[in-house]
Amino acid sequence: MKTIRRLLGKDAVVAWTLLAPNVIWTAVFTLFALYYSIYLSFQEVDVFSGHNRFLGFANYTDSFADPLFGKSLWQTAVFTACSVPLSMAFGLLVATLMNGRIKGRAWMRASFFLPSILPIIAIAQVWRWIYEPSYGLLNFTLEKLGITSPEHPVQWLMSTKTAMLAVIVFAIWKGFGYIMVIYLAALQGISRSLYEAAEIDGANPVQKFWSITVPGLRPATFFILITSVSGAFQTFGEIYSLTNGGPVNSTNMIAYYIYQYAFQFFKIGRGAAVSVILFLLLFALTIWQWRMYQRTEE
Amino acid sequence: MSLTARRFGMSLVYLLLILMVLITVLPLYWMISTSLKTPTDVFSYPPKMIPSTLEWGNFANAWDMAPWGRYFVNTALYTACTVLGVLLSSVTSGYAFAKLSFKGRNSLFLAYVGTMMIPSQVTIIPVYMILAKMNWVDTYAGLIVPGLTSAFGCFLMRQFIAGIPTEIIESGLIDGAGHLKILRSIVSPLLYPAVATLGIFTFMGAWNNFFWPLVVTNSDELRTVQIGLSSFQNQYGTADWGSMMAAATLVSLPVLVLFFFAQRYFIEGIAMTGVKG
Repeated sequence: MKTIRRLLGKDAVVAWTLLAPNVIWTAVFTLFALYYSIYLSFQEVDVFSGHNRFLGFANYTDSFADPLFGKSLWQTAVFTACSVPLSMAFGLLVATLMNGRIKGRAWMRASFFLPSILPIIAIAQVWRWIYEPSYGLLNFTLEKLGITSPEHPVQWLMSTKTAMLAVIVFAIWKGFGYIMVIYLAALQGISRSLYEAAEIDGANPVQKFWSITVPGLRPATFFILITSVSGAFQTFGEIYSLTNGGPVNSTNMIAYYIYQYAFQFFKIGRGAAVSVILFLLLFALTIWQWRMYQRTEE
Repeated sequence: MSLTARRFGMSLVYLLLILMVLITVLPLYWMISTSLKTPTDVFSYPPKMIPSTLEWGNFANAWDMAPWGRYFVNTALYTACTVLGVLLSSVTSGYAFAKLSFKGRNSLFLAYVGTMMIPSQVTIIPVYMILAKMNWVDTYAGLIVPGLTSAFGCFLMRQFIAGIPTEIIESGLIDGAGHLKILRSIVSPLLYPAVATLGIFTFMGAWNNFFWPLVVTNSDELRTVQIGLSSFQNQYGTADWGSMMAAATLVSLPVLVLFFFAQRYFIEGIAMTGVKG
């Protein structure tokens, strides 16, 4: 007992006992899983017999040769580049509007947050109906406003031209409330005295926003950016429930591609290879964002 | 700025906010109102915002069209086990990281928090294969066991427990209590807000989880409500919107009720992770 304490620290025994579940679970379901994923990516896996065959880099080269892989990767990038900044902009806009003395703020905040807690399968069904070309709410509203004509209803989820846009709008609707809550908390952490000092110096609201609010929100912005980009790259439920990747794969994204290969075509090795690529990509993106953040902080 | 200009500005802010609130809650309103509409109301054009009569029969219809009782029991079991497991393991591991001294504590904590960066999309295939080797695919164990601990939960608890004064723990030690007893009878009662926050997040995550049950279960007997709802939609398509929306409302109800009563914990929890994290 005494030697254990001397070697591993005063409370080592009780500490490791308390940590055991988390350590074991992480070791198996995260760390070993990560290694296993890399291992599987070099194999041809027969799920039913359990026999594997070494393939070398074939799963990787096959993926890169597949036009759909490139397409879904590109579409993931487009989806991320549109949905993340727009969700952040909406979240910040609403948070800024609510930051003053606003009556009924608690109710408004709850309403904006509501979409992010709703089960995606349930609410996506409603959106499929809203997007319905001939009797959906969206086209009805657009026609009433005279923006589109009833003779040529916008096809939304059913056209390769508009499906991605429809998915992005849905994702923004579902996600901006979460961002707004974080921004609102961060806004309330910025000292009032900074604004008062700026007012004395004669700064207008726009100047105050850019020189006090935006810098004050940097840590929150960074946190939101990292988590949102990672989330957007893993978008699955939106695709599964709205479009199944269609029409003609125009909304297929990388996470859905992985799911299709691994669990619909049962090409486990191929799915694992693409998931390893996704991991490396996200890892590089995160490091890059972090370094940009560090650099501008100096 | 003059008073009238300021008043004008404020009315504009309110107008904008109220408009955005309406657009944001419209889909949810549409779901609930349609679940109470008769077929004539459902397909009326222009769309009817308010049902002309309340048709509760949609709920009975939807309920009879799929084994929802089974789905709800499965989801309740999955959610209850996940919440219990995550709360227990997060409190114990959070305490160890916050208040116990052992070699390598800080680097282990950092590494553990770092594992949150590993996307679940990357581990889902190997975890599925591990479960397949154990013959756990399409079983309750396979559904439940991998999610019983959470790095995020541990992180949240560690941050919260670190804020509790160490003197309380030291005085317990002087009185001859061990760490397990101190954790159970002195620290745990102080953790109520953090436990509520983490409990609610975990509940939501498990109840709404779609991807994992989709991958790991196949048989109808093991389906959760989300998978049940998805197959219900695929099966009956767009023929009966009233029943479809009734089913969607039923599946969303537990989360909506929880949110209605515990919104403070949702909001505070997110603010906490975002601003401090």
